Amino acid sequence: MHRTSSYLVALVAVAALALASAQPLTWPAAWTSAEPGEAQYGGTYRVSALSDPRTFNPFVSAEENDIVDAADATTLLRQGPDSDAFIPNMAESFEISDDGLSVTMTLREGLRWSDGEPIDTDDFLFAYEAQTDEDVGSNAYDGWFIEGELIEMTAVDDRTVRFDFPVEDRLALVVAGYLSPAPDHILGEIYRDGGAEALKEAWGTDTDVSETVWATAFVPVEFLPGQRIVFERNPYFGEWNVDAQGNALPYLDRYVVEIVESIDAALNLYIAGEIDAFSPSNLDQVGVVSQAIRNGDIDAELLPNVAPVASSQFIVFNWNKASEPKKEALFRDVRFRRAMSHLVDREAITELVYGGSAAPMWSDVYQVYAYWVNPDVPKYPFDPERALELLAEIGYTPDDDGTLVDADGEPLAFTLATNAGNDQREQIAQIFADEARRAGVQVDVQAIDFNLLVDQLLTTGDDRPFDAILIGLQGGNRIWPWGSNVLPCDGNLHMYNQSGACLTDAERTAERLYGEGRRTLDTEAARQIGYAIQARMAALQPQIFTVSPLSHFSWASDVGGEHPRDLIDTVVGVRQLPLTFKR
Amino acid sequence: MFGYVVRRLFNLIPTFLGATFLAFLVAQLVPGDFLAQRALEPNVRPETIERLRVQFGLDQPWPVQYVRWLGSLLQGDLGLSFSSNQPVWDLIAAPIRNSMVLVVASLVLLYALAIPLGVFSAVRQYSWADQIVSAISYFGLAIPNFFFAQVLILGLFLLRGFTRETFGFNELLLPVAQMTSSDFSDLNAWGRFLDVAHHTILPAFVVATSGVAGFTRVLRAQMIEYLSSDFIRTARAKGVGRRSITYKHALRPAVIPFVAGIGGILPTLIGGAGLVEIVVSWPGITPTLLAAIQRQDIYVVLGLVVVTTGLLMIGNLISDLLLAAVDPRIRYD
Amino acid sequence: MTTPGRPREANVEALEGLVERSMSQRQIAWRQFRRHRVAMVGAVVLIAMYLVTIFAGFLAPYGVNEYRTRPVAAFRPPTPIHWTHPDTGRLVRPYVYDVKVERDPVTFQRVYVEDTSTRYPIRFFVERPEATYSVLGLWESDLHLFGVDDPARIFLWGTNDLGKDVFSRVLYGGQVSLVIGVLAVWVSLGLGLLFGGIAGFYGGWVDEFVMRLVEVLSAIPSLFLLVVLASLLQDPRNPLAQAFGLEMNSAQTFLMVVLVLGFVGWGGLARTIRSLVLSIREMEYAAAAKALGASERRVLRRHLLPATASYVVVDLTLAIPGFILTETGLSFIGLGPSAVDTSSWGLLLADATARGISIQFVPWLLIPGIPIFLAVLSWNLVGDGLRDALDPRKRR
Repeated sequence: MHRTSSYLVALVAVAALALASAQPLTWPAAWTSAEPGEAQYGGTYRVSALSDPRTFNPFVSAEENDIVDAADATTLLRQGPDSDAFIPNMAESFEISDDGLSVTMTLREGLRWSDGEPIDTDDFLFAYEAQTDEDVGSNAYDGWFIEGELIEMTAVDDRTVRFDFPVEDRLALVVAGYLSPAPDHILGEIYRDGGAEALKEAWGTDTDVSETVWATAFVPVEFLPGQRIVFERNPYFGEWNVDAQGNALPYLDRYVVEIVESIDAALNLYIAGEIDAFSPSNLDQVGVVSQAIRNGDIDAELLPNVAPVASSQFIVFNWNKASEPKKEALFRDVRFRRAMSHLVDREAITELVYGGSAAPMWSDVYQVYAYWVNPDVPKYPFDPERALELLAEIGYTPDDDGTLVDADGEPLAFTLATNAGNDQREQIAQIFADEARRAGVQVDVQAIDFNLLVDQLLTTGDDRPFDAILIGLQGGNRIWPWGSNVLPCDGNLHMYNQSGACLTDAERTAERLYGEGRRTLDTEAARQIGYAIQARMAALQPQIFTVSPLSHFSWASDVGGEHPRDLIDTVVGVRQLPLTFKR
Repeated sequence: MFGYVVRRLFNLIPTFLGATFLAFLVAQLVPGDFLAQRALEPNVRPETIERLRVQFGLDQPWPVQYVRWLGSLLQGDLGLSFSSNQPVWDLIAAPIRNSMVLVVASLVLLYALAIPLGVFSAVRQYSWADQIVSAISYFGLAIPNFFFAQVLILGLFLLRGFTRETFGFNELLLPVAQMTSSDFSDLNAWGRFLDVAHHTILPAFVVATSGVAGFTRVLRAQMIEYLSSDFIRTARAKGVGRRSITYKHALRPAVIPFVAGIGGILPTLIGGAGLVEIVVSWPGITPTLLAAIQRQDIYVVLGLVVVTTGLLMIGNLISDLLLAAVDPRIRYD
Repeated sequence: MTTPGRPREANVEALEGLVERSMSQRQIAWRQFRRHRVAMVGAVVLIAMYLVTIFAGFLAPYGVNEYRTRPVAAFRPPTPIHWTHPDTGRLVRPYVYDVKVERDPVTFQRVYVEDTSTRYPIRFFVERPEATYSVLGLWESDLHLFGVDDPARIFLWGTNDLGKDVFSRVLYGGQVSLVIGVLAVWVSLGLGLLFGGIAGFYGGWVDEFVMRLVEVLSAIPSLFLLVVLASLLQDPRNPLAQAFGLEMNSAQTFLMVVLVLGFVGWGGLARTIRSLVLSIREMEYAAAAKALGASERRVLRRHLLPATASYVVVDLTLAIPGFILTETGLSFIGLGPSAVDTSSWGLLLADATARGISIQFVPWLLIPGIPIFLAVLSWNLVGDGLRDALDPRKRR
């Protein structure tokens, strides 16, 4: 979610930011493809979402509350679609101390909630307090801790706040800068009167949405569970947000999110003309949209094959199998894992699973974070012969039937589990298993329930219940693209080895480099550390990455204000909602 | 009669408790819990997961969880949803109501289709017309609901292409997804009713077709039996007209048990509506149930089970009573 | 699963009539059944389908999971078969062409263009070691009814997303879909006989307990049971798998689906069997037989079982199509037989449904709907025919 930047740029930017006060935030003309003066006021923009907001409470949603977020983030700092640098948002300026251990932010004047109440430091402090209260159980809780220590937030005066970081850390500014205010005069009252329990119960889906208050460009006015949320223009948003010509934002009167059960239903609504935007999830859907446009069913723009998404499927082998020492030794052998990578036919996966619309993935950083991706990592592309050579080195040679067997005559066989119901994973597993079988390796593919798969993957100890799992993760950011629980050996997403300790030098090095990278504020230096991590991880092949699918976008032609074409990608999306208008 | 109702209600209690226990047991047997999935997020610490597990009471053995849950159930509280921290009832009330809209609509359609078809077949038994009616009614029985819905949706799009080419009419005849249009909230009460009705036609038709076959066949058999019975023969001998015999003397006794027997077909309809709800994105019970099962939001799952179980039981009771009211041969004491 | 509103009690009376004439019962029923033309058609269709299923390996030109990654053959439309010589127009031995793949610039779908340089005649009785099969596990072979030489391929009903032959998969799919209902019915029957029999025979608190259990089971929405049981039983750590050392490969997943279906379906059957046993136990002829000195076992074997059997046969026959449909539903929500290396009609149909309206580009994926339709219809027709044949009041 967080699109982050080069810290260095931020540091340099500091001096320039002590500009005249009481300035509204001007949304640059570079963020929209609209001609100056082209945008009009009024109109409704309709989109779809795959799940209900299960609550309007900003502190309790267990999953990302996409729908409310989609109405545009109101954070202290933000990043634009055209640059990774942090720029002031609700703060009008920010300043980082020389030692990199604290940041001071000054709020913009004229910030208001949708009920007209002013937004001040109390609202930010309350949000911080609630997020860092264990009993509230906010999703943001973990982010406030760096190496186990809490980031401190204090109010300097009623327009200035300061964050103190326990150590220098690349991710600290992300956490502080992406703090959104919460209405202290409503939720704060509830919290002070009834504590965490009362706060958690507030603003559920049973609440009349018109009683909730927001700082966002659009505020929810109606919620029909399972059907739609209707948002209307927040009149106070325009007091501190204007376009390049100085007109108050947003342009639209209404913003409607239709809740659908499946992406197919969303596609049906789109070509029925019931929604104004749709992101096809594969080339088939691109084809349907394209044909609908050609037939004149809808008048729409279509951008196929835009960029890789921040997600990939990978195979992970289990290094902790004390009950089967032979398998454990095999899975821990780097030559074996490289051989398996040589058996992953990424080209066939691209063609067959993604209809030709995907890019192979070699490093553990998603390509969409292009700045961080090391292009020169060791690669082990599809090459069954090389795989056979490597397996022969380990001691597996073909018998009369072509099955690979060891010196005792035992065949090379393992189970590859993935979750049932995910067609793409099942197909990737199958293509891999078929290729392996051709090479003489018996791969038994199991499709099991997702919960069970996760449960198996996250078991800890020396004897875990699976051989290999095919799964995908999403996420990451542009400040430091590794999650805190992936590279460290005791992290719970260090999925290949859950013994609690590093087993190889490469793991130890990666763990050390991970910490070092986070403490390196200079972005270029951090990138070099990141390159080193990727090189080590690619050589180790603890996770065998397959491909990243490409994303596609489409929207109705009468919706204007999308980003210029070269800015549209998977991370920043197609448009800024406040800059969107109806022709 | 009153005594019977009280006794029946009293009898429902152990069954109801048994059902909740069984449902709880089965749901508990699935390994992992709601929090296991959160652990896949790249920045969540294991301590946090453990703390939340205690907060949600998931660290307790399941009998303890069951007793706690049952305790609050007896006070009319279905518990809290893990994923949204909302009372379960608030989350499931709307889906249940929406499903009922679909089920009632398909019930009406079912009667509207099955009764004429059954009568028609019975009157012309063994004719080719009878065979054709049977074939049509079998069609709905033999095609999976979700597939039929999908094929109809595709058909509607193809039809739009056709009407545009020939008549310049570029509109879909029926909505292909959801329960209401996006301008629903701007409509007046009558407009809202029409809007929902418009959206209901397609899924209700699909759900109804699967029941038509069984219904038509049994109704036909009953009608044939009545038409060849002594009292009809007597009526004929007395010179009662053919129409009157068919519709007044034979149809009424044959149909009444079906109309009264709603309780018996409710579970089938609710089940049948399930997968169709997914295809047309109907905000009903099944999508909610599947999502909750997938998230292992166990109290939402149990809430749905409890409420639908209760509804089914009450439906059965009412239909038994209705039967007794309309059929003089049935007496409860 | 069973059709709503089917009167059960009525048949109990009918059985009295049946048992009286139990000597000639079978012949009468058979004669009655043969007169039921529609049911006979259903029976013939079913027999044909099961025969095709047994010889699926021979009739299918390709293996159930056979596909190639190079060149891609995904979503190939049905291969056109040519009968006439391209130049002379004279009738020749049927042949096909190899294809080249292109991409449609508008729909982004692959387009396969025939390469007319070489003609590949259709050959009969070809041996293809890539696609071996066994008939009923007795006889291994790689002989196929028809095929074409490499690199051309013949896809009568097109291919799916990975480039697997839909025709072959439909034939093999019958081995799951046609069998699953029959097996699940045995599971249901076993449980139904056990619990229904016990309840009816012993009566008292046993009866009370069993019937309560049935009531509880039927009170829980079956979708919930299906989904939870299916996800539970597919876990390799489930108690059953632990007890029998199962690894949950596709065959074992298939068995689990059978168990789930059977388990969800036994309640109604148990209730029927119980009421039959109860009523027959109290009937005069049973009392008479006992009075004449027949042992209880003899009463059970000679009188109760045959009387129950005819009714149960009808009920079971009508349950099979329900199970076939339920399997398609389970596959639709991803909890059916393992999609990885099995084919079933439910999986094939779920594949088609999952394409949404983009199915219009690949309409041949809808073909698996036809065998499901035929099988479900035929089982229903046969069941209805059997009921009429076994019910003396319906004879004509």
